[in-house]
Amino acid sequence: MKIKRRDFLKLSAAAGASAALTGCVGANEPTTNALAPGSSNVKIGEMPGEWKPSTCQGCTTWCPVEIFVQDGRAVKVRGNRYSKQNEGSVCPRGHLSLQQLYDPDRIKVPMKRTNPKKGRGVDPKFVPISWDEALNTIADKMMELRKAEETEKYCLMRGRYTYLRDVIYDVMPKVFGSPNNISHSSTCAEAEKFGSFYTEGYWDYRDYDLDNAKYILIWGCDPVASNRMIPATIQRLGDALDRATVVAVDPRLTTSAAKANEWLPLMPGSDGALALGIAHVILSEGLWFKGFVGDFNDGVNRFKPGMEVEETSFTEKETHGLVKWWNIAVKDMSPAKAAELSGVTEEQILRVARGMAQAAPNVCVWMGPGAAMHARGGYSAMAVHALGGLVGGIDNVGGSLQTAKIPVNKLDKDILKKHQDDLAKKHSKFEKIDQRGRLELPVISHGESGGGVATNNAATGILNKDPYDIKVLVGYMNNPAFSCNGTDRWEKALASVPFTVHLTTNASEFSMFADIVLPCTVNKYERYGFVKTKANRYATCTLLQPVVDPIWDVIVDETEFPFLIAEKLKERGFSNLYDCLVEMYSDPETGKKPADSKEFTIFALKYYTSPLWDGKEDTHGDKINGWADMLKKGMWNSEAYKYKAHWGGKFHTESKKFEFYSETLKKALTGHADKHKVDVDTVLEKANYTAKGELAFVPHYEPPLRHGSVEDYPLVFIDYKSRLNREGRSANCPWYYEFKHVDPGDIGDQDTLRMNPIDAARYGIKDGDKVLLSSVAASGECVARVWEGVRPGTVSKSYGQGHWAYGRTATEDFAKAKPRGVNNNSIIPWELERLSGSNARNGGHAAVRVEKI
Amino acid sequence: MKSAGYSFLPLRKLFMMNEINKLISRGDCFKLLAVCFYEPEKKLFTEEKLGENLGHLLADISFDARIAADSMQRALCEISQENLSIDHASLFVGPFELIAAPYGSVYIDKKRTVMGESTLYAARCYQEAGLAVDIKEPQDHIAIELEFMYFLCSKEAAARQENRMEDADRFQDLQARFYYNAMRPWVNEFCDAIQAGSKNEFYLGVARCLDHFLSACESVYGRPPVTCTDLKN
Repeated sequence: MKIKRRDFLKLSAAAGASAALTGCVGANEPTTNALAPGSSNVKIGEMPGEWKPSTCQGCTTWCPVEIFVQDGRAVKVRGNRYSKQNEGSVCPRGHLSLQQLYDPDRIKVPMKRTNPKKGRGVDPKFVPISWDEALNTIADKMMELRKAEETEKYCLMRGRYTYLRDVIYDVMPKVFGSPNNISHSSTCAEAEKFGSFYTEGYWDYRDYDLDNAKYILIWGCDPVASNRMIPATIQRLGDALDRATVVAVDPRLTTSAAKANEWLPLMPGSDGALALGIAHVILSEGLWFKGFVGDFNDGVNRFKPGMEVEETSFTEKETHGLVKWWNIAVKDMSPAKAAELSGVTEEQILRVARGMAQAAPNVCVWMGPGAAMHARGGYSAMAVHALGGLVGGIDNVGGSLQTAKIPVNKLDKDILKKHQDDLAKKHSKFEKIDQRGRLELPVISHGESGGGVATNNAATGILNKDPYDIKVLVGYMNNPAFSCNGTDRWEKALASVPFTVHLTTNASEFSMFADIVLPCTVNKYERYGFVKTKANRYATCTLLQPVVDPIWDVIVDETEFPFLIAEKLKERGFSNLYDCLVEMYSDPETGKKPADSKEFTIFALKYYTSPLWDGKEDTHGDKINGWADMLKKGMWNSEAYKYKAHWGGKFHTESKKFEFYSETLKKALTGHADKHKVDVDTVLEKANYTAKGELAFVPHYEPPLRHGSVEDYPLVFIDYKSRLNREGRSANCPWYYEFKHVDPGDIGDQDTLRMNPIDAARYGIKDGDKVLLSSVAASGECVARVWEGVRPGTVSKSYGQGHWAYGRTATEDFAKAKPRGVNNNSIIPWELERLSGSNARNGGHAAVRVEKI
Repeated sequence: MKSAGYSFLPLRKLFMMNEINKLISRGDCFKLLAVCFYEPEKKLFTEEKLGENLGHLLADISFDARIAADSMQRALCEISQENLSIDHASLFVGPFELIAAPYGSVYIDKKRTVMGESTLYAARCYQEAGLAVDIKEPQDHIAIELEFMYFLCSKEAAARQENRMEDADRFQDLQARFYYNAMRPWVNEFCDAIQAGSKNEFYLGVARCLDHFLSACESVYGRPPVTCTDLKN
């Protein structure tokens, strides 16, 4: 915010005096700076408002929404009227976002640090700079890498995204010459996807057919509060309870558990044992769904507890390896043993197993991150998902589903390659900074060694400069120094990077280590983009649109930043990126090349979405009549997903069947072992697992890893996501604290640690006590709530509070780096689930003690 | 001109001129205080005698405000450009918590929000005066509100000089309404936030100066007006 003209500082001429003689400005025409003549026929406050479509990215549901805009202000939110997913409704996050948009602590202008020292509690002393200075500085740093032929030392770290991510995440690093496009995907749920991929060949979140389910087994998540189809579940859970049995498996009493018919409060990390115990009952009592799984050749059940079964005696239909699974992992996991390991009673295990079987095949097994994101969670994710297979609730009516196709364009790899010079081609194939694919870090996403991302290990690579040092780091819509467990490692890693840029709406812990921060749009309200999502059998493409003019001087991170940098690199003699962008993203209707970054964003959006609205092909969904109609409706629905689309040998597994014995995992692990010239047992040992031999290829129980001795840290910490968390970006919203009590057991305006009365009595804690929560990693202050809704031996607290660098509301005292509450990710020690590359944040490795302050 | 009142007219005119000059001075105070909330440019502020001029203008308006302006002037000589920029940013720009959010709605709407109902009130006042905001900031940024008051004072002064009394009264009325409805509800608290959160002598002086000056303006604008620019009208 600069003074535009020197005259603005001059005194006005006194009445009757000559301005020319006094050197003062005349009084008749005031010299303005921020104000200018305005000519509007529309009186503010007198025009009706308008509902405008966009997309909420407050969680991974990615709801199509509409926003009521009046006088240029966003004032209300609802679901998009055309949506077949949320049917016009949103969850509390949808409304909360208004305070994100109108947060006075947002970044308003580009800023640079003036204090070269980086560290926690060290004020960067940011000052405003012009866009030109910011972009020139960044381009100069990038050109230094080009000149030194070390382009791999540029690293892009992605947080939450739209599908316009291709521009900043794929095109920009690859044409520049870096392999380092590090997503945050494994922070969320890659271990969960591991479970569905190595059983049914589907690396994605599943859809759930709640309308037709007769049994809903919710495991390690709270679908009315988080996960992937929240408004749809909020609307349906009540009806489902009239029709179906609802069971929640979770160490804490979630909102869903509070409404459910049954709550199974298992010990963290024992999910594999409990799932196998249920499987044991289903198999030993002959209750599996024969229409999916098949049967013994003679119809006589030979699954006797502890007894091996001859494989040839059973003929499977849509599945593969049931008998092997029984023999290797299930036969000895009796319900009694499962009860002992999991802390869930044998009676409950029996009742749930029989109930599921009775409802088969209309059974939803809704597996969430709590079942999977453990240090040894890959196999428990498989075990929980395999239960769906046993009862036929896979790709079936009332069960879990895959997705209908969304026919949008893909990035044009030929154009990308055409603009990569030799340096870029060579260096973009260097090893990535997260070390994925190393012996101890298989990350076998999609069956390929190193095929996914190990977000949390990027900190290790950066800190140890292994395989090399990162010199230019760009982060967007992310904050790993808060959102990844083991925050201390991130702080050290980020402090070691010589030049960092943060593209974001709000400065945060990551910004504390940035040299330049750039103000970006709040996705839901201020930018174009698109995402793909699904729920209720419908796949959806929904647009993000600028429903209000941005208040401050912000850009779209994913498109404008690459375009503006491309222009600057071109000025410096490297035009490849610019040439690639304008060729790849010319207007699909006119062929016009984008003239500026704003037009570039619109053309990129048109390029990707054009198959939905250009009328050339049948989209198998809503008919959209051209670009204007697409903008007006804001979204596209597919036809309803067809049940059993993958039955009949069409699962994308090695056997083409649903695999209880995973040939797909066997191939992936063997491939990784061969790459490193070791055997699979060694791979698993290096990856923190205990399994040997054939156990490596079937869903099984792994004892939980634990950081901290039982003597010093007797309790197990449970992290969960508040229903008010907007992907970690609502911490500066006052409503977040005011309404925090919407999380069961929570209290508004405090960071609440829930503790069972038995434990509270044992450790002398009373309701409302200020307590010190400590793990081997860190300590922090919060407030105890003595509550039965968390199982004895565990304490739970929602993720979201504990910022030491953020806005006025989120931080207790920024100047002193004093957090408001305690960050769960500081308490949870750094750890990975190494087969999928996931951040391990559940499953019991975070042992803690609680002391009254 | 040869009437019996001939000898009286110059005196009256003199009085009027004096009143108009007071009005112009008050407007300039608003303007120079608005300047203080932009990105600081030490060279420009020094060359244009920002503190000195402000002190001079305030001499007949508020003794305390003048003392504060003098302290601003002294501080400006001593503080480096870099420190001015750093402290200005941490007070009014960010990127972390704003020590003293410069937006009226943060204080008036009570939900720590920009673009509140009170922001629309300010925008509507500008519209009434034929103006719109020409920078990327919410309409109730302190610098914009101060500039608007300067604009109104200036327009009123021009109207009175040209004997357009109806126009002049309209600008005066809008000043009073804006002063009482848009500025007074928050600027005192805003100045307190600067004083509590900064050690920069220049901005401490700005806060004291603004606070005292606005208080002194009460004597000009009289009792709070009953009428206001109500969005629900």
